[in-house]
Amino acid sequence: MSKINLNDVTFHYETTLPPVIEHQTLSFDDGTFNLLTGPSGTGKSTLLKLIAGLYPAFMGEAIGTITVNDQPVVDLPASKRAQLVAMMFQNPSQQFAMETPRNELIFTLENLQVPADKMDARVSDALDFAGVTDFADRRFTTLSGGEQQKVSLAVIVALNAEVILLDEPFANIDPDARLFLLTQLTTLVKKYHKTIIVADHDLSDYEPLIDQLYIFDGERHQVHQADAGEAQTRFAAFEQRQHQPAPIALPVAELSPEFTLDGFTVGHQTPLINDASLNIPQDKFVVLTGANGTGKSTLFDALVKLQTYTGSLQWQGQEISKLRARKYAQHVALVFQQAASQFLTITVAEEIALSLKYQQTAAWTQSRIDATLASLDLAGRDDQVVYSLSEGQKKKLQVLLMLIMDVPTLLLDEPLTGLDLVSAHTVLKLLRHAVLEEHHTVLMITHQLTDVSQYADYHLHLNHHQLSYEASL
Amino acid sequence: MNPTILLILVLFVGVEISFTSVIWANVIIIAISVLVMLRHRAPILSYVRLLLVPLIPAVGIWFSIRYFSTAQSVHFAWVMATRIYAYAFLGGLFTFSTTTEKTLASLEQNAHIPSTFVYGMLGAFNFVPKIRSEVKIIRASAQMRGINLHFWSPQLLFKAIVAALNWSENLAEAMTSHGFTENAPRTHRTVIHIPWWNYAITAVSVIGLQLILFSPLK
Repeated sequence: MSKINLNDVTFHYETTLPPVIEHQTLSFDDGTFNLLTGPSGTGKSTLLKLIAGLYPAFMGEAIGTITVNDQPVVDLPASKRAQLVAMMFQNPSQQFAMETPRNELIFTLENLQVPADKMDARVSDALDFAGVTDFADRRFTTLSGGEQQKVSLAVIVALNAEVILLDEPFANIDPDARLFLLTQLTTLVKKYHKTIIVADHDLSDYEPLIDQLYIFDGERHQVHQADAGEAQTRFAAFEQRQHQPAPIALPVAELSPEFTLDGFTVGHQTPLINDASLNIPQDKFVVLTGANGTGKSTLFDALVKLQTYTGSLQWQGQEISKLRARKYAQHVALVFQQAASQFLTITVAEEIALSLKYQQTAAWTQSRIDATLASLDLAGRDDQVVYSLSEGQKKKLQVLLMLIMDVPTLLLDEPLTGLDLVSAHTVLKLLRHAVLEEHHTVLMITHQLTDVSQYADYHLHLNHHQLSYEASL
Repeated sequence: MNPTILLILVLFVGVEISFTSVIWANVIIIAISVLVMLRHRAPILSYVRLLLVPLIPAVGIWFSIRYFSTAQSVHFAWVMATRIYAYAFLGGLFTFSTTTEKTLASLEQNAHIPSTFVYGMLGAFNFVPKIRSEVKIIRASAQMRGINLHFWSPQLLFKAIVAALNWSENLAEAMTSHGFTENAPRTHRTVIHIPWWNYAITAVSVIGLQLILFSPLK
């Protein structure tokens, strides 16, 4: 029996823009675990927010009808809708209005007009199910991404919604938390007969759990249900694309260090990196890997003075916490994971002009920039607003802006996200060139490892709160 | 005391001393505020702050009235100077008697302020640490591009506003998906009652204030 029905739905963010979803007719069955996949930026989130009734209430324009239990979702008041359709968002920290998990659960139950005497039992059941009882009264700002997503699950359980939507819920969380959440979600389907749709581009671990696979086709702006054969091909293709490691050198002791860690510990409530001691060499291309939520970005934050730490963290023999931020930024710069943090102006041309104005050397001339823009497939976008670029285009522009600055040491946090293989090669080539020809130091976090070993010198891996060099990448 | 009742009382006292000129009333208000703050174990630093921050306006107004006004009244100079301190300490009294959460919850239940306003305020308060760290990131990002942004730089303001707009959008979506409807009826886990002695304290305070302000002893 179908639980959710879309009937000829078309959705635009702006009527002047092409539709994100076009003439979509689709249904999801009651009591099933569904996975929605497709390239990032195609509209998976949009589809989930439409089913949750958040769109077009908050944004965009929709035609066609979406029903859950044969009731059009747009017609329901929020408190009724929340008990029918609950949602877990991609960004763990931006889904709570209260200060602590317990207060968020109470807020939710108050909205549903649950009687006061029934509240405490429902709160503690939900906390238990999601495994968050221990930190129910801690502030959200002290919780890790994984812990916050568990709280989000607790809210969903407290809502007791029949349909649960999850929008890339595991993007920022560690593997243990991911496994726990997947197990609990399966329980919700099997034991409590909930209907679940997860949007995820990472297919690992899903095959034995799910009932149906749905595929978003970005070209046609439509989702279709994969039959058994297609699903199998998809999963097999995903497995095959899993990276095959290639050997890579280990750093030798004589290398002069750019960064030196000694008894270095960093983290929030519990340490992410604990008592690490090693060198990161100068004038080399080092790749940093590790599972989601293990602390790679936090290490970068410490390296650019955005995060406090204990122990010692030195840049060319000087303690980073004691350096003046303004001066140090002329030596070590970061390509942020969130592209929006990098941009300071409005259009592509303005951003490039800004980097040109303050560049440290004259290594990047206008003609070199134009040639590089062309090779990155960014030519002719001078007047485009940077925020309206696709995720991949933003990443490429970020890298270029920081290369133009010609800062001696460049840290890059996931610069290859959303890039096709050709663009990834171009970016890697640019970085390799900066290291070989211009004697820069490059330290790059990445999940996308295909062919990276051709360009990198060393592979640094973060696992179980420890950093170590690996002999393969 | 119930935050709503206390807020009304503090506002009433504040407004009334603005229209009268009795030094003793101001001094007694300051003394009572200190007593209440002591009872709530306010840190020493907060007294220091309450004494220092109003110092320049208080001294300034004392001198301007004493030497530069047409009447050059000593009495009125002291009235104004102590009044500024009375306002500051009334603020201290209120701050240490309650918390933001309790006040907003009480305003929702006792004063029937619209829930949209109450939860909007709560959300905004919870945003403060995030805005702080965002400003830090924007400044660091600008420094890496060779620009030093000060807290008055329009670029910093622009970026912070863009980030805040984005968050408020996400927060609104999150609250909606947690069942919140603007100004719809809600239940309350903790129902906030106003005990009888709150009214008694209010009545005694108001009557006491009138006696001081309007007694022939002044």
